Amino acid sequence: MRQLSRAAVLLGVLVSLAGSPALGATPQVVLTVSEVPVGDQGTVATGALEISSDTDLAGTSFTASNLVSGPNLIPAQALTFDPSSLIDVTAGSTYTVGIAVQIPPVQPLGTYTGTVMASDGAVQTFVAVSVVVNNRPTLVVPGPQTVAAGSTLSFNISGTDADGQPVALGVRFLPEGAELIDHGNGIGTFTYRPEPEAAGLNVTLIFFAFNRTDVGVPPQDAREVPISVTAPNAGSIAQMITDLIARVGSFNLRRGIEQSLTVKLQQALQSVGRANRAAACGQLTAFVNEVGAQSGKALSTAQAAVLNAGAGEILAALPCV
Amino acid sequence: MSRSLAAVLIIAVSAFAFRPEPGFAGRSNNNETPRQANAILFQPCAFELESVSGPLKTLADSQHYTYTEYTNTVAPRPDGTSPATLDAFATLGNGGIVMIAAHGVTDRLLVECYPKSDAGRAARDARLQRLCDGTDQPGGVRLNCPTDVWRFSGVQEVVGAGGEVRSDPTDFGIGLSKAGIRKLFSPAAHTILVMGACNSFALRDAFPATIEYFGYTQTCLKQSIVKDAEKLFQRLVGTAFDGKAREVGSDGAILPNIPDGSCTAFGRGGFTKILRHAGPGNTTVAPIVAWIGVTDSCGGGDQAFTPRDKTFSQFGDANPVKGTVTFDTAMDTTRDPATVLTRGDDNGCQIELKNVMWVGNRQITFDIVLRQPGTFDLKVHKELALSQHNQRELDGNQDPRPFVSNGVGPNRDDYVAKNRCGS
Repeated sequence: MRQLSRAAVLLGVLVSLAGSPALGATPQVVLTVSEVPVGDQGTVATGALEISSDTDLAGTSFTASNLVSGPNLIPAQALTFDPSSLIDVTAGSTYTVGIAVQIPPVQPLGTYTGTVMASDGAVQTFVAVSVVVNNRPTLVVPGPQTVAAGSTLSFNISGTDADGQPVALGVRFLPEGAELIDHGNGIGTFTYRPEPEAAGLNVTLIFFAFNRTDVGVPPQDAREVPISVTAPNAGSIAQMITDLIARVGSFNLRRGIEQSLTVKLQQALQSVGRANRAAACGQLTAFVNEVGAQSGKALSTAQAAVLNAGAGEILAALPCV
Repeated sequence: MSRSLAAVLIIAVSAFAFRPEPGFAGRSNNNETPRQANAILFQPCAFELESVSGPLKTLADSQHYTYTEYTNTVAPRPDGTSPATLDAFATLGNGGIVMIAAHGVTDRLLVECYPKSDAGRAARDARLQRLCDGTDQPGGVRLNCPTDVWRFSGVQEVVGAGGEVRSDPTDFGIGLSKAGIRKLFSPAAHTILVMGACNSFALRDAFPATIEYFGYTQTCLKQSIVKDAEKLFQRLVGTAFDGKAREVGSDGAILPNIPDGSCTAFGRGGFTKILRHAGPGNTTVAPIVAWIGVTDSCGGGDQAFTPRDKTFSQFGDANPVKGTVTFDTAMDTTRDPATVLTRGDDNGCQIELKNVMWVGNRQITFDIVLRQPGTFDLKVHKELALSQHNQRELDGNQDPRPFVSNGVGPNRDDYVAKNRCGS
């Protein structure tokens, strides 16, 4: 319901003229709502009107009616305009007039509608105005995060709405390897696995929460999470090898080939656990050699490319020379 | 629900109070133009974000700036545009007015975008590899990976098979950090930079404090970027507020900056509430005869040219009429003032101008000797009344609406004042 009301005000321009100028044709005055005031309880919701005319208008003032939503009301006195003084509208120019609505702390939620009148004393022009009262959700995110390149960072974010409305969670900009899943229950899971070459990357991501039923221009709570990617460590390298073992397993290769490849990776994993980099490098190199030998045979070229890329990342992360 | 979530970009409502913090500069009539006379639009992700071409071109045409557009589109590239790449980004420092439309976050800006496809990803990765190993050096600058430049993507929500809402890349992109931006793009003083990217106000410190910077504090709506640009540019060229709000306005000493209600391009407000400005504020795109005594709501005011619309009865060398014209912008004072300001086409009074001289870099004073009754014009010549820093011509009062509209675009029109000599 709230969506429809807002859309109607944004898309439809309601202009009516009453009275007439002293001389000549009736001026064509266009009064529109360019930004709908939307705000939380106990805050000032701000929006904007635009007015233009094909005739000069001297000393134009703005007044509002009460705004109503069912049995509830925002009194006209709660609306103020900027500038508050009279303005002269010159033909051909578009003037912006700010609207500020002081929303009481206990104002019931809803879309309140009324009218704003612009008048220069002779010409009166009206436009329908809506004010949306709706508390934005609150978003909780963790503090700054650090992740070793090659390992996986995962944390939850949560949004709650005091009005009990369902919450949507979002993000608009992510590094390669990152993802946010909104489970639909106010909880979102962020995962990020930076590639080994991302060591040294520092980025601040911005998550936000808004009411799921809102579209267009909903209020939101936005929070930043700085993330630092450090150099690969034994743990992240072990995870990369474990992931590569799983990838080999996912290809449904002939048992002998799969075992041969897996054994080499398991040996490399053990070497990493013993901090024996030289051995790990040797075992991974043997893995790469076998993948090369089986490419186009037991392994498709695409499978071989995937495995080589994975092994290459690990060799770079160790690093092997 | 899913379509709504996927299709809509989100805008936030600022929590800042509606009325301004006190102490901002407001109007100064002591302006400078950008250092270059060209306008550049850079939109690397136009194939997904849609083009914002239009408002800046209109400004450039109105005030006679050369116009350059770097656009990445899926369809054939629009005529006259070039690819938006890091190499193009490295040329933006040559722009006097620059608009960028891209994905952003508080410390990164997407500068190269590739379509969301395997080919796009491969092209992006290959390009990044060349940047990282130094094979490709945009503008001759070696960028470091990942501290200067790295893989990022714009994101939108899509509904997964299990009904969960998953963030999904809308492109494969290359993003610059603030350090990377500084290496490639160092705008000159009074450059007007409109950053049409979400969260881009936080990138302000990647640029010199001497530029006029516009950016968004939160996630933004792409349609709002176009509307905000149209509004800002219409004021800068004087087609809004009768040419009285051409100064950028609103000093940026205190962050976050919000419109101060004064009759200036930003100060007059009405923009998306999460648009912010920071910069010196005293920047115009071309000079005009100054408006003085204008109210905050852009009402009233007078044009700083005397005499204008006056009748005189003092004749002869012993009784000259004193005259002045004050411009709102620093002018090129190497031009002979006696050629910048002359008699107009109508010289029924047989006037003679004497002692025509520059006073400072914004004012010409002169004496008028009247010889006989009649009427006379005084003219400021558009092609000689030029801004000091980028040689933009006067925006006078002859086009549009001769003698009615002062400082209303287009520029390259004379300013003419009419007067009368009595008997």
